Amino acid sequence: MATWAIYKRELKTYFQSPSTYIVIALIFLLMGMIFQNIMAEFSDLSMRSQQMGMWGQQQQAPNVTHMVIRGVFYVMFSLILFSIPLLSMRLLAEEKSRGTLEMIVTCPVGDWSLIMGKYLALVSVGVFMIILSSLFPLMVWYVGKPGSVPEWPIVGSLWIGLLLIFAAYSAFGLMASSMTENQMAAGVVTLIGLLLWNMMGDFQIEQFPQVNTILKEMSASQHTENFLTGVLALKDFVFYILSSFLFLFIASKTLDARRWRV
Amino acid sequence: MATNHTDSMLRKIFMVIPILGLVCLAVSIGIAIHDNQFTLVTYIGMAVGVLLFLTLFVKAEVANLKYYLNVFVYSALVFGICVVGYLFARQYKHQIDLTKQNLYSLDAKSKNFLHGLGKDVQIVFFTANPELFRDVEEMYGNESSHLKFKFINPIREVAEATTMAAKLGITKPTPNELVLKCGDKTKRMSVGELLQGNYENAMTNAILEVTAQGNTRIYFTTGHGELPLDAKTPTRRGEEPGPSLGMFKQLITPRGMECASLDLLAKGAVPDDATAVVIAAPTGDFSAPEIASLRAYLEKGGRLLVAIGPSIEQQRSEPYTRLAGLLGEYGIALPDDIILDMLAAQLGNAAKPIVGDMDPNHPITKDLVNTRYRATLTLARPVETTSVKDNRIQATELIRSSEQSFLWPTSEALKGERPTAPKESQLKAEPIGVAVSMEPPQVPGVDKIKSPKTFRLVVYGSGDLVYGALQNQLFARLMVNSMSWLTQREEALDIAPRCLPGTPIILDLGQQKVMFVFAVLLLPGLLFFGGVSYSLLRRRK
Repeated sequence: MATWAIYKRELKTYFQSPSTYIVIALIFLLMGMIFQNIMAEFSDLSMRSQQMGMWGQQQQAPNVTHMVIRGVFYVMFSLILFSIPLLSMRLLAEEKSRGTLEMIVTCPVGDWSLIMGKYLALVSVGVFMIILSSLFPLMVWYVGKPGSVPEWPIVGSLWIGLLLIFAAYSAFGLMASSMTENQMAAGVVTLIGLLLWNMMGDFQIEQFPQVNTILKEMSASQHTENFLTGVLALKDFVFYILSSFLFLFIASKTLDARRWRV
Repeated sequence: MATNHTDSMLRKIFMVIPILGLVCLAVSIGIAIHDNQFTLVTYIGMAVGVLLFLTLFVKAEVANLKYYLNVFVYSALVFGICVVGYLFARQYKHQIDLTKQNLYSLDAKSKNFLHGLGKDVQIVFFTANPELFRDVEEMYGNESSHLKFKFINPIREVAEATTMAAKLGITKPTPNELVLKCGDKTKRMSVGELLQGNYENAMTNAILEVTAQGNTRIYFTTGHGELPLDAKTPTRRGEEPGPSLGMFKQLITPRGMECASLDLLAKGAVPDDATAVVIAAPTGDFSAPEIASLRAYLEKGGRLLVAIGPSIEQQRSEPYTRLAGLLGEYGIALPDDIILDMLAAQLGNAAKPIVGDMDPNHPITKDLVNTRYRATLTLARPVETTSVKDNRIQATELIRSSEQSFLWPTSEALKGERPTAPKESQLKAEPIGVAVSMEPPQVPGVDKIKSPKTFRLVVYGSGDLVYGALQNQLFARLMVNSMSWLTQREEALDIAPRCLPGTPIILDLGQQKVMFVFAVLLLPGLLFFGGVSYSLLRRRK
């Protein structure tokens, strides 16, 4: 019940804050521009393959799901990384700096209720963005029907991937926000942390291939590849769910410790 | 009082620890610079140094220490649980491929073959880029625990590469080489074969080659003008090896099929160990005793492939009477005509018949239907199905020519007359059959592949398929599939490369404008102005 109350309050705060709309509008402006570019290039390629066919030369026509839809969603996967610090930095840091966290902690509200309420509110913002992103496949469907429509199962895989990644990044942002009173510091820590989490798979230590393998397995970007190709792998689901749980757990422990910290 | 004393002690300790951290970091970097390389020790030293330095930000009080310890221990515990959970999930390797063409999973044929694999196969990649082949390892490893993969960098890990090469029984491994070993059999191939084109076909067939038992024996008839199995060795310098069925042999032997010649007149019967018999483009007819041997073989459930072109090739007027008679008993008619194709003529390929439609359900052709392989036959005769001797036989028309084909009697060709283009009304509305397969109909609930030996027959109306099997992708795949189907070895069927279907969209100017307005202006604009106005209004209230 407490979780629900906090969730509603937090969601209201999100959707009444102009910064949320500015962040989402910026993301969709970038996505729209990239979508427009990829679509124009796709149209050119389609025309070229048709012309080659008329001249008797074989050229594989491009595939709209793999080129356009995957292209746009790939960009969205990256943009989420930059949007999470902006959306999550205030979650707990603001409560701390205003002193309202002490009030909440003294109420009969468990740490997990507080954490989950705020976390689910942030994930709901992600769901809102994912719903909005469906407009791109719908536009492709509209101009491509009946023969050149997107492969909806792959679009579904991209949505699931986006949701899981958004959830894991949100948990990380919440954890960072729980560790400091300064919103800016929370945002910077989240951004750097998420960048490192994504790039750790690219670090190559030549002498230790085993270390490289471990870093790759732990890297967030490594687990997005399957979703982008339309493959749902159990290990990717487990990775993002467990990562979210771990970050939320650390956030709850950090809150819990405030009670007896000097 | 005691707590204050402990706290002051802690403060002193926590003043020293960050300095120690800095020293540790500097020493580690110093060692790395001195040795000109970063080792595991230097990495660990640097990490410890950074961690110790971070204690600078820790408030050195007993209560805080308890807090840090508490958070650390619990977090480490949960982290451990998460790692174990992830490793557990990783081991199951369960995944769903949502792509329509199953681009990221193995074909059912490969899966069936790998599930039934009873021997261990060692697969060693000698490459500097193992990451390129992790998908292959994962996909194949998921299907069979008998496949043992190993990646060795032959440039960096010279000693290990040499030891492994000795184990595999090869001389010196070359970079970018793949070696498969099963028992005594070893196969070497370039990893490039996996990167270019159809990796699954290459890999499954390589595994098949090293695990094949070699109990599949194919006999090729001789004595009727058929090409020999092996080319005649040149006797003089500069002389080219004679024509042969060597290319065809090269295609099927790696799939565990042994090839042998068969002189039916000398042997008197088809040998008992024959899995199938091939009559590859004869130029003369078979004698009555030979036909009797073939008939007896087929009645016992034999398998026969006949590739027989028009008799114009041999300048004969009464060709293949006995052989055609035998096939006639099984409901196959071979009219002595030549197929000419107006579509090919329009495309500048004389009037050679184009391989048009293929049966989408038959194992020989089903994977070839959606490929973009196209081919023309030099000469082809129609292969028709008539009333069948035994109604337990099921005929399938495998290949047809294009809809613009027509028949030209061989007798006219033999007179030296030139074919004249037929009128529109004379063109056959239906394409003409060029290949037919025959087998007993499938009994519901009985697996054809695992059922006991049953009669099977494939007839091609052209000799091009066996001669040109290696030059033409389509012919090669048709031949491999025909032999695999005849010998009931589904795993040896050719695996079609899976490619993305083209879904072109050509936008007109209007559509481009609408897309721009919607994606770049309307959606972000609505979110920005709508959202900001809404939140400002709410705040005023």
